[in-house]
Amino acid sequence: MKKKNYIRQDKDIPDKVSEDQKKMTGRKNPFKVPEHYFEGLPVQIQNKIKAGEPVKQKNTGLIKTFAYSGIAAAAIIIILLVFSELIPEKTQENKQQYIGNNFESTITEYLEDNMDESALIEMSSDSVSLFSPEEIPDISLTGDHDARAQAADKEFKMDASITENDIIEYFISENIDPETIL
Amino acid sequence: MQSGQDEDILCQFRDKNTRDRGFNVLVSAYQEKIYWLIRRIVISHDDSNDVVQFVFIKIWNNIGDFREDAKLSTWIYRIAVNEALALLKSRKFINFIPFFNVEKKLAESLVDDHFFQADEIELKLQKSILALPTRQRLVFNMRYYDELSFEEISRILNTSESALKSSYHFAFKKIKKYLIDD
Repeated sequence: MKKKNYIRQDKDIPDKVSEDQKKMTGRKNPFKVPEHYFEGLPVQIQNKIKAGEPVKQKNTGLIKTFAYSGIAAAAIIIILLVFSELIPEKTQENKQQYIGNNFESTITEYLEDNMDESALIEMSSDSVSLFSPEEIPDISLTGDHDARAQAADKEFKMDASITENDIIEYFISENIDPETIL
Repeated sequence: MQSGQDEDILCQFRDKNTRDRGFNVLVSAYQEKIYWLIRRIVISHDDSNDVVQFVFIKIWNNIGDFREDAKLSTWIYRIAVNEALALLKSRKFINFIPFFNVEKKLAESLVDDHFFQADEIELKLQKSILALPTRQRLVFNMRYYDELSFEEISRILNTSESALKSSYHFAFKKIKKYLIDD
């Protein structure tokens, strides 16, 4: 594959990754540093310590760009809010009526195309349960609070033999990414 | 148990007369490792430079309180990771947008970065790493590029090894999918 170079020409950028850098990172490293950067770093740090600079991170480079984009976004939101307040009442009513009519007709069309009548009746019925009777634990609603709590504990208690490793292995075998459920 | 070099650094640091020399040895020993760890998190060289200097100033100010419960290297890595993540967090805050995707912005910034030199495949690899959730990105970088053991990463991030292995597994799969699909 033809290589494309994404970097602009600059004198202080080394032509290739230094041997030390390769050794340090172990893998090919596309990130670069200015020439002699690491040689001068200890002096820079010592100077800052001697000058007694307050320990605080600076907001430089991209952080300023991000700040400006945030301010711009906030300004747009404020303008939109002010503008919406200035729209005459009549226009607002018309707009709401238009949205309402279209929303209703779109939903109706969708339901007509995708669902039959019996499915709609089933959906609206209060008797529909998410669980089958077998899946619902048998916890008596009578008796005192402690007894009910104990029954619930017994029903839902996690198997003590399941270890963290078992859970991780289960995630891997079932292809469940923990990031998506935590 | 500290390594020979770390033990030597700490000994020099405890003696007022050799404190500066001890710190210089520490900076020389860790500056590149810490810089690359931070650089892969915050991406831009300018920000990495700020964070790395801040980390070493923080080490200078706090090494007197280091109680050797952990290895010196683990303590240093932990400060570096925390400060790099703090920078990303501050960016999210500065943008005033709760779900602002700072990693997406960083991926976009790679193309114009003076200090990023990559062919198409390498650029795609870095973008796929930046598309990972922060924790998976950290684990992947520390294992793949910094070649730290899961045991060491576990001590730095204070997470179990099995959870780290799972994170690495999913990170690897996502990167592979990103490289094949996109």
